[in-house]
Amino acid sequence: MPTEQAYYADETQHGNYQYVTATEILAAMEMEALDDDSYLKNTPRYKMFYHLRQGIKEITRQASNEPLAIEFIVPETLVWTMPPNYVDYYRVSVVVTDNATSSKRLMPLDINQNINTATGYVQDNANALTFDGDGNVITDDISNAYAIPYKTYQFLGDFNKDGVGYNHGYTNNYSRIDTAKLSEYGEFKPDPKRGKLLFSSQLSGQTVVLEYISDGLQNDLTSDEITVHKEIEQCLKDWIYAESIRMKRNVPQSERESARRRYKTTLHSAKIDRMDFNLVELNRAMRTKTMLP
Amino acid sequence: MISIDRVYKTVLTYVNSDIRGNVTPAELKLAVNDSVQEIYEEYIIELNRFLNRENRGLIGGGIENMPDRIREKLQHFSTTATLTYSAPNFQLPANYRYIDMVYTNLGRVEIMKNAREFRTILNFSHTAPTLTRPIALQQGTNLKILPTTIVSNVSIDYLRNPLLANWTYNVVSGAEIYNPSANDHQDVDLHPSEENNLIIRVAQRFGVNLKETDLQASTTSEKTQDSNNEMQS
Repeated sequence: MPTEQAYYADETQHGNYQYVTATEILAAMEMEALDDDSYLKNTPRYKMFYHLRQGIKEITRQASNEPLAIEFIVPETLVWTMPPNYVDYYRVSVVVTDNATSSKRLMPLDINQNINTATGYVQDNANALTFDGDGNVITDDISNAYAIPYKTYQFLGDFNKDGVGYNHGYTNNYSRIDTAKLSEYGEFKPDPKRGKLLFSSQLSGQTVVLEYISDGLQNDLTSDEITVHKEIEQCLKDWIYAESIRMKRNVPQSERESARRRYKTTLHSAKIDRMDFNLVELNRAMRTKTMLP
Repeated sequence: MISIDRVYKTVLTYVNSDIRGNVTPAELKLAVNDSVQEIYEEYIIELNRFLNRENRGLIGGGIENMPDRIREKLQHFSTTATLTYSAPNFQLPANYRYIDMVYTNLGRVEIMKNAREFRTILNFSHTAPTLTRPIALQQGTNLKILPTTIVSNVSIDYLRNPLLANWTYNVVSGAEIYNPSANDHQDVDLHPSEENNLIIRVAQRFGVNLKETDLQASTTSEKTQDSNNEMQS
């Protein structure tokens, strides 16, 4: 633990106290296994490490509540590759400049399931499937958004104004506008199978922030410097213990069941701790609502 | 260490007589060293037995903690050395008997039980060895350590072989006179608590050697009694 002066002077130390490394947790579990009467006795370190990694994935998914964020400019192809540690998206926003203050604000994008990501079968003139030399169907990007970037409708700020816009060809007939398809800031669609994010055309060249959930191994998949938040440390230890004894024949069923229940209890506590929920925030949100006209 | 001279004299007290004849220093050396080896190897079996008793709640926690006492006797042989690297393996010390722990300056090296475990781990990316979690496989007196980037700063805590006891003497007027100043003199390399156990075992061996059934019977009976006392403790 550095001195306070050293802490403030070293930017790499900031916030470190909240986290423990996987190496520290592994060492703690190895220490538990030293007792002659420990059920973890004779459990190899590599197995504990394996359970630790699996535990980080599992608990991060369930309780971490710690989205990561990256910022990038949407290319002309309107396709962006997801980060290697991407598991699911939390929110995708465009960065817009607030005219009054010139500050940057995040405006969440809408998801649009109509952006086509389907893989096309290549067919011949008679619409029959085509196959490669190995007998597999030949596929390609034919009419999906990879081949033809998704062009979006222009949002009309004033629906009562005459003009040309999204009206299905019915001039000045705004009653037919499908407002569900309108998006003020733009749209996106994740394609997890191909690890891509597809955007609508209005976002081309715009700065976008992707907030996403990782599996907790984001630092480096092979590094020993994987860190976890202290609020899930005990839960992770309980997971390692429960998993380590789960397949041992000489461990009584009652002990295995007890370990499983203990893990579930600490997981529940970790979820509550990581929810970042408090009554003051709730009060603030409610107050804001009541102030709206 | 246990005084070899005291052991010799005590054994002679039991064994030497006009009827039985004399025990020579050469015979004593053989019998003592054989007994030492036997006692050494029995520690591990005894330790396991007492650990089982401990896990059933039958062992006290203080000086009477038998697993700790046996470990203490084993620690008599515990020593540390730095392993020498001779590509592609490290060489174990010449006097090692059992490995306690191998470690680098970054932490413990995990010793694999066998080649199958060693290779299985290598095929699994989640558990692949790293500098902070290295693994090793013993092959004879070689120690293969992975990752292969580890080529120095490897130390070992191990149990060494016992030193061979040697009652050295000068012959004066046809009689052997004890000479503890000789260069090859060596006391018995065991925990001091083993003196009585050692004498009984040596005497038992001479009982067999001299075909003295009464000596064999009495020493065997005493060993059995000792064992029973331990188990009932």
